[in-house]
Amino acid sequence: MTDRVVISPTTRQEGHAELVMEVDDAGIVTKGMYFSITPVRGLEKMVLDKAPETAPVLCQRICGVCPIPHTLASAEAMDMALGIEIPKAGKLLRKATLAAHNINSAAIHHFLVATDFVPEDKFVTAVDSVSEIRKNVQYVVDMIAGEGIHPSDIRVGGMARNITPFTKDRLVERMTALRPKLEAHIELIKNCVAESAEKLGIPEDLGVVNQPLMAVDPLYGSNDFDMDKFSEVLPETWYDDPEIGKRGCSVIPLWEGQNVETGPRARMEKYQGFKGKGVIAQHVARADEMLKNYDACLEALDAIDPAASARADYDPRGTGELGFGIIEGPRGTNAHMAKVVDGKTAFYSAIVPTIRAYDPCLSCATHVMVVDDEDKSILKNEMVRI
Amino acid sequence: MPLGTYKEAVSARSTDSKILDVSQDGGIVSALLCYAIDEGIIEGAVVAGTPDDDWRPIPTVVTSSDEVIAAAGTKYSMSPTLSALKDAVRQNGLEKVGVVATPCQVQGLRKAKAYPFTRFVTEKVNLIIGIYCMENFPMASLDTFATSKLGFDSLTEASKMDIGKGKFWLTKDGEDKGLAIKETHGYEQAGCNVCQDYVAEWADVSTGSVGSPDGWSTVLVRTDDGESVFKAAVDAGLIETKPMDDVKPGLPLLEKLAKGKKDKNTAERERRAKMGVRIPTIY
Amino acid sequence: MFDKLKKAFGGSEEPKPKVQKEVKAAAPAKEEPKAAAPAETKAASSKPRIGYIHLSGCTGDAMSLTENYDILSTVLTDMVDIVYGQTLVDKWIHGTYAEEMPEMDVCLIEGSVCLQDEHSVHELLTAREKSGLIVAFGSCAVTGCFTTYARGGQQAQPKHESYLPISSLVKVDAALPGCPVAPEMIAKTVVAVCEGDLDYLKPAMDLAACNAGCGCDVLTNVVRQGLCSGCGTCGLACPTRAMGYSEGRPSCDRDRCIKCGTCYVMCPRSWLPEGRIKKETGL
Ligand SMILES: Cc1cc2nc3c(=O)[nH]c(=O)nc-3n(C[C@H](O)[C@H](O)[C@H](O)COP(=O)(O)OP(=O)(O)OC[C@H]3O[C@@H](n4cnc5c(N)ncnc54)[C@H](O)[C@@H]3O)c2cc1C
Ligand code: SF4
Ligand code: SF4
Ligand code: SF4
Ligand code: SF4
Repeated sequence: MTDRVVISPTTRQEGHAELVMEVDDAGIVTKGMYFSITPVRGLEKMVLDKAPETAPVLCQRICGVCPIPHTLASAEAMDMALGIEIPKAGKLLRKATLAAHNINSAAIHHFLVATDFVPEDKFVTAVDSVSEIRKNVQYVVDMIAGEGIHPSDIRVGGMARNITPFTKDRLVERMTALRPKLEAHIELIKNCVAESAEKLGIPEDLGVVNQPLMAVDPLYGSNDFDMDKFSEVLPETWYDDPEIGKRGCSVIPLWEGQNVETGPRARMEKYQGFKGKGVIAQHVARADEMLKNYDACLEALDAIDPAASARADYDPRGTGELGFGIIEGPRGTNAHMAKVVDGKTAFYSAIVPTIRAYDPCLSCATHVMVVDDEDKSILKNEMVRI
Repeated sequence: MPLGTYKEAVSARSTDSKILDVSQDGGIVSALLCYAIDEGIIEGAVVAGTPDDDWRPIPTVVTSSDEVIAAAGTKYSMSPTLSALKDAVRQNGLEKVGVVATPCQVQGLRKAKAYPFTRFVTEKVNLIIGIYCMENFPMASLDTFATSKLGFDSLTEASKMDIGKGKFWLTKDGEDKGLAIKETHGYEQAGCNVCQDYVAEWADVSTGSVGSPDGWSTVLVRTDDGESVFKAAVDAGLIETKPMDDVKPGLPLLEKLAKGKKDKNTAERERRAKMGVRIPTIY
Repeated sequence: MFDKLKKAFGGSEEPKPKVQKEVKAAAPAKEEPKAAAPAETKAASSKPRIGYIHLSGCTGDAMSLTENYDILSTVLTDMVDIVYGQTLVDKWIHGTYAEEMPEMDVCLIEGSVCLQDEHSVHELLTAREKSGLIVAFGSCAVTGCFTTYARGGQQAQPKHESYLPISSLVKVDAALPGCPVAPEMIAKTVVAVCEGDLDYLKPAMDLAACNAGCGCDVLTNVVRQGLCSGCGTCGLACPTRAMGYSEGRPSCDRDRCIKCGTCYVMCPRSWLPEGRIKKETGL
């Protein structure tokens, strides 16, 4: 006999989703269906027949937790669709922005999981540590990308403008001073996670999946990517439950016909030799990746020539070819695609790390998710109690 | 109180000839900015320059004395100065910013400080230098003054522009040509007709020419911040001062003009309200 | 409304529901979980009980709220009780965590409401019943913001097409525009709410009925009314840098405008908080 367990909506994420599980007599979850119930604002349709410049402005508003990856993916898709080679300074500024944002996002994640993992007596310390880190990395995003939450200055063709030498020095100085705090923070979070894992008796194999890994770059992103391997399936087809099929708000993206695991753990395993799978490993990978992003941010800042131009001149009419922008966001590989014909966006699609193209970024689950696309993976009952 | 709240009123002048050579009046604005930048009180400022020397004011971020001085002098047309504030605190990375502002700009900035609908900007403004302002002109009006009324081929021929002694002045080849202020009436932008503030009542320090002799400025020190910068600049010998009572025409003229502006434009607000068109809501 | 606000923040004796971390045995699906609400731990509290509802927004406003770095932990632990919300606490109706929406003193609502999504509409209407004050939090909730451009047709719910500002469905008590609302604006509002400072909240209350915004607002409501001074505050306000200037007049780049309405709200010629400015500056 199987029982159904429904968690609706799931919490502490961006957007709304529902988790439906089938549980057998032994209390083991045999099937999990995790699907979005966030209304579809329809960004892919909204940007059609508008100027190419509009897409990054609107698409960053897909998600206020991951606005930077969306803006970058959108701008890079447009760059390619318009045949633009962006200047080196523009690329470095983009890299520094994403690296800073990824640190911010991991810190937000820690804020959201704090009530689960951080003991009460360390709660204020943890929140303050999160705030201290965010304050500094968001400063970097503010300065370079114009606004920390919805960046105004990541533009088609590069960046709206370069930073001044004064700003460059200031950012390098602030980031350099951040290092010990960041290291302490990573330590704090990893300890809290390990301790509570032990206290709660979280099984080691909780959330272990053996899906292929998806990551295109250790940190930033790359357009060296085989789009043909992507396919998408409507919820009506994907879920064998007609009700869920009808209510599901997201299309299911597949890579070579399969679900894949994306996000920090996948990246760390693929490029940094990270070992360990499952829920706890994901937390460790996310924390460790903060330092990789930190180094990447400083490196990019260092390399920026403030005198150089950060934006290319371009012809906005478009090539009619499909352009894509693939960015490694905090929660995984984020791909936007665009076609521009006669100066208007003729096609747009966003395949986001979580589930594609509803209001994306069900920003990584804090309770139950190991991989961002949870369907079909086997979950154990315990995790619901974490 | 037509002049708003102030701690002290003095007549003053920069002691730096580099400033006085290019400044509009006593060079108080530039002297204060240069001092504040050199002392690290501010890291830069937003001013109205005219990079193409065509009298078209362009909001500009400055971070050195040289840049301050390059932007000295009044351009009698609208400068959306506050729009450059974002740039000052973002890509320019300034944490302590000065702003030179007409009364309406001071109002915009103070409102933005009181209701910070824009992220992490206005808290970084720590010096607001207000300049007196009776009215401001669209570029086309300035063109009219230059070409139709003063016989210039074009506005760009003018090397200096000023309003004083009842006239609007343009200088060409060292020669001043004046147009009676009466003749400029009706050429100002419509928004100035509802403006009730002449002396930048909410600035940290306000300054303008009226009340003091040629080449001097009348300074109203208003806030603690304004007082400390102004005093320090005086103590450092960068600004010389005279008591207002010792100069002609003195504060009474300033008060008279400030009150005149208030009365006239309050009446205009009432007239517009009666017609049923919009006027700003005051809280 | 005034009484309500005062009562709400004058130290209510209402029970303070405790944020519960553990999840009780999950309710079986299909059966509408209409069982009695879990008994909330009772405790007298004078802290305002805050709810946070996320409709069709992007969570940017919640992120912005958490960017009050220096006071966040204090706000969360000492100043307010967050009693309802899906991102910050595990409280959500129609879910396993909270079957019934708790009573709230203030409910912040982010995002516009999708008319074709039953759950969103239900949650909004319930929130109106359950909360003393509804605050439209961020421009999507206030004006519709960029969701105004939504026109449906997208998989997997092509029918989702109408995104309305929340004032279209319920009475809103106060509106805080911004995309996102700036962290400082949130902080100042929280303080005003906790102190019952109605003077400060008045403009946000008067904005409550707002249901549209656009870069054109400054043209229709300021420039066209002969009120614009060319000060540049609207450009400072604009989160997308859509607002530029042409000869001292705002010029909105429609390829970048998201209809957040912040430009007009920040313009000193739309409304001017004279009282507050005087209070803050002592002028
Ligand atoms: C439109 C306008 C009308 C004025 N009307 C009067 C008046 O009726 N009575 C009076 O006493 N004074 C008036 N002034 C002020 C006066 O012209 C001088 O600006 C002031 O005395 C400062 O002189 P200074 O020598 O100290 O400044 P300077 O050292 O010359 O520096 C002048 C500063 O003003 C800024 N500035 C120039 N043009 C503008 C502009 N259009 N908008 C904003 N900032 C600008 C520059 O960036 C510069 O920093 C007016 C100024 C303006 C801009
Ligand atoms: S008169 Fe008033 S509105 Fe006009 S420019 Fe001067 S300060 Fe601004
Ligand atoms: S107003 Fe902006 S930040 Fe707020 S929900 Fe809408 S898009 Fe996101
Ligand atoms: S111009 Fe800017 S501030 Fe005004 S509505 Fe458009 S995006 Fe918002
Ligand atoms: S803020 Fe208002 S007065 Fe100032 S430039 Fe914009 S529309 Fe004109």
